[in-house]
Amino acid sequence: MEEHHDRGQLEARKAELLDHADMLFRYALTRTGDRQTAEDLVQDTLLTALSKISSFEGRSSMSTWLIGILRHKILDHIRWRSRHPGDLPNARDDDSSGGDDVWFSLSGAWRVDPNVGLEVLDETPERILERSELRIAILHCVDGLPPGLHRIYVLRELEEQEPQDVCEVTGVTRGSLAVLLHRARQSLRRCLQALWGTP
Amino acid sequence: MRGTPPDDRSSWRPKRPGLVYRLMMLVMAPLNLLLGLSCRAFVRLVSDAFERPLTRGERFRRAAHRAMCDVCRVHERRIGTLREVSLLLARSTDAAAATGLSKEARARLERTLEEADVE
Repeated sequence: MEEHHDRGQLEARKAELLDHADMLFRYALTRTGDRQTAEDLVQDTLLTALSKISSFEGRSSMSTWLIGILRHKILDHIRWRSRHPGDLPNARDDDSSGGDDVWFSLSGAWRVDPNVGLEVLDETPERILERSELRIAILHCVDGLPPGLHRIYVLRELEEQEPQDVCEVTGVTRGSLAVLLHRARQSLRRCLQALWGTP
Repeated sequence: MRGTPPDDRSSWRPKRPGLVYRLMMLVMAPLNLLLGLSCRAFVRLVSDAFERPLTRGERFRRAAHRAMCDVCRVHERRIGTLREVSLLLARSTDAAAATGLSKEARARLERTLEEADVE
């Protein structure tokens, strides 16, 4: 009888965890930019949560507790990816000398207008986020960052990690981090210009 | 990747800055470069200011450039807004922010949880 009751409770817990799957998936997708990775992370998170469900005391909401677990999984994933030498960003290749030449003249003046097409950014952030096409465009451009820049941008700007923590996770130096974040922000700006700046 | 993907705008080409800016830079740019007050240096300082406190000299150079360059002043404001929007978007996990799991992924997840046993 008691076993039957426990089984029922477990099934109820599993259903409760599954109710949070979409929310966790959106959170992971925003940070990984890859559906398959996000799905894997959600699965890992829910399995971990299930194995520790008895330790969940309800002090925080279940969604907060699950996001806490998922954040650890995401950090572990980014740490693991950062050890992959294939797509690590290289600050020495940065635009302060090379890539920016398209955008700046030799004397450091803009060759192109960096503001055209971005008039919507004169509105408040809350107003901007009310418009689904703008949200989709921003997420699209964040996803489109090169993998190395994407990880750094996610950790610093979306996960709000401190610079020293980002350096520790990704293995870049503080000097390189500033250069790479500058590059990521400008890439994002250019991507949005390309999307919004066309009549 | 999420919702309706934005159109491919690969044909987009950036526009040149306005005539006033170009005329001003014709005169000022060499001097700006010499003094470390170029638009390129300013944009880098704007980004660095998110990461660390700027030195007094850097703050002065940033303020001096901001005072004379309309294009960079607007750019700085919009980069700041873009950063805030990204932060708010990242904190948001509501249904409007992005799509959910696909049917297949949800089914896989349900199977995995069903098969999982807890001690």
